[in-house]
Amino acid sequence: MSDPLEHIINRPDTWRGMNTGENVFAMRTSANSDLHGVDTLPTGFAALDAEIAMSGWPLRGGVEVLSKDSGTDSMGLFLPTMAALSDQHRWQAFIAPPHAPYAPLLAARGIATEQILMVHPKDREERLWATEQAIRSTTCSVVFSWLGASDYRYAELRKLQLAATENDTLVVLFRAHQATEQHTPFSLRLTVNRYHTVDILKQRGGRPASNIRLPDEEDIINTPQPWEIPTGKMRRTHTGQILTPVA
Amino acid sequence: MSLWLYLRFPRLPLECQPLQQDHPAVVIERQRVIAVNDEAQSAGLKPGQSTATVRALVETPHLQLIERDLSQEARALERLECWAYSITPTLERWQNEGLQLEVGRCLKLHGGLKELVNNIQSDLEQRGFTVRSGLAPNRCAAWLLSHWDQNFLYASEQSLRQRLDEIPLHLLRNAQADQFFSAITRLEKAGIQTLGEILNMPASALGRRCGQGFQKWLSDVTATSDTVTQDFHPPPRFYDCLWFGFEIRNQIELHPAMQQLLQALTRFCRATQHQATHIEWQMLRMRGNNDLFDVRSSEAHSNSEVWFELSRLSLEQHALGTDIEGLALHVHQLQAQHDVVADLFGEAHNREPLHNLVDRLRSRLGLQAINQIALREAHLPEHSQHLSQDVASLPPFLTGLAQRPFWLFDEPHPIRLKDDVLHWNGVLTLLLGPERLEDNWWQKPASRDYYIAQTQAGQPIWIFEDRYSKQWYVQGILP
Repeated sequence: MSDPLEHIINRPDTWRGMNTGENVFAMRTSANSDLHGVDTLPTGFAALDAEIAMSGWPLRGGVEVLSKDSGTDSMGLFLPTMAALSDQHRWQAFIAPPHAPYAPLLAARGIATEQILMVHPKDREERLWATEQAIRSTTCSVVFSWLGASDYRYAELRKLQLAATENDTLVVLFRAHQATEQHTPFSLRLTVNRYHTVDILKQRGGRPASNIRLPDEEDIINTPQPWEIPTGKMRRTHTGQILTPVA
Repeated sequence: MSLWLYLRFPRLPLECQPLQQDHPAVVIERQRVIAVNDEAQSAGLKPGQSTATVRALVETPHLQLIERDLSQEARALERLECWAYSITPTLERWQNEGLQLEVGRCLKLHGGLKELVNNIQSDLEQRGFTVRSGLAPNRCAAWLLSHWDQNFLYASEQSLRQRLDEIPLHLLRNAQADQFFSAITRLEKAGIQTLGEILNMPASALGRRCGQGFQKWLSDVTATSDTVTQDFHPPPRFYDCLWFGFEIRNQIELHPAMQQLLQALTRFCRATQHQATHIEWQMLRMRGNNDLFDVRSSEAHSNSEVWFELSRLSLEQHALGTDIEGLALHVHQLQAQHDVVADLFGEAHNREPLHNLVDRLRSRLGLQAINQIALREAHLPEHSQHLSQDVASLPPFLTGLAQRPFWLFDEPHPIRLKDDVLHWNGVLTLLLGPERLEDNWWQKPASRDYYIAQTQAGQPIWIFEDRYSKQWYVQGILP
């Protein structure tokens, strides 16, 4: 086999149609091979793991999450992962987060708050730069980057994806819904349309899947309760239920 | 047996001052030239001439006539001392024109005498210093030999006496052995031409003729051993600078100088077992103010590559001023080095230290752009955490609060209440509550009833009603 070809095949980000059988252990596995499963991290949600071909978050290749408000509503997806990664004593980088995460909640969920590193870049260029720095540095167990609604060229995203293949950092990029139309270089593209409902739009070595329902948070009752807005009058909720004032 | 290497800087008055390249320059003291550069030398200028002669000989408008600056010379020698400390700790300033280094005890370390002297010469050349050296078992002879033929430097097969013998007497006079001026003139008149002839004379006769002082000096020059008990103690700070001799037009031109200065810092730190957390760069102008910028690191270290990376990022954030012709590196406070226990086999062996990323990000984005969340004992959510710029470990904190938001808004967002229905991105439904939080009574009292509500998209959010103003707010978003 010629050297450049072998080089390409051995790259961790190369997708291959089929493993040739012999010699498969001698080489690094390709991006979509069965053996690639070692570079994943359980999501903490059985329903989601079942639908992702690699049975967890891909550690090399990046996860792209599209949502309506560019990622404020999707952090629930990553809480179990953040707690699991807390053992690594590395940074959990938040690049351009929309708000500050609430430390008491993180602590209650077993996430080491001192590992959270918040980075506030001023503009789009700095955001890309800081994201790439965090991914390339081996000091982060996970990099969350809120890329926001800006347009990004494929080459810019590809650069991040290449960086993500180089080491074992989980890379999560939050983007707006509008990005659905554009190609993505990342291994996994998800979207969150409703609370705790995930669609897989694209994944390496697997099929798209829709309406993956994550279990509700145990300690939150997810059905509307007959609480009233304490002004004393009767009102109708959007579910049509009549609430009566508490005496 | 001691071995002294004397480094004499004959052009120190010139080379310690910022100069324009490729133009004749002379340093004058009391209207007399004391040092000239190559361009001035080829124009026929030499030490000893008067200012008037200089002006008569050279008519170019680029002639640089510089007044001698003794304080600059002293500073340059201080920098050279710090540089030489990485070669040997036994060194001293000599006659304010050079450095005496005792190298006999560290030859093996530097790979032999020839290697050491070559390294020293190329180092000094890079720093822009002309050097003449002398090598002898004692400081007097080393100094004297530095005025003599430089090819004799390695003539170690010859004994000191053999090398001294050939030194002509007039050299002694030129070498500013002022106090013996009359004695040497008298000896010359008597037909004596070399130092060897003097040394062959009987000591008592010489003492009578030339004085005890001269005799003492002769015995110093021929001594086979010369030791000082006091080693040099470098100051716990670092300063070094480089002049380019031309104006810097873009930042990349500064990079080699930065690397060179940082390598000097690393060498100094290694030799003195120091580390730095904060370095200051000065972009120097010949006239006018210097531009400064700081580079900080959260961990003390002396790794020149890491400092260079951080400095490069910081530099990119600065607009390059005009007329920058030099670069200086200043470390005001060096810290004692602490030992790092390296993990030889662990998983972490190929990971860089955590603070490296923080430093890199800060160097480009600024100190304020990076922070961490910390917990505080307070009831009001917006007060129960603060954003800390001090990236250090926080005390562990555990709480049973799980019905809390993931995102906390800096400022609560007001909710519209219309026809007894709450509106925020659509109609809100209350899920859980109320939970009353009261606090801050000593300042602006707050009393709030907190609820968990659901947006139309099914997203639970954390809202409250201010019991004083009856206004509703969103405080955060649940995971």
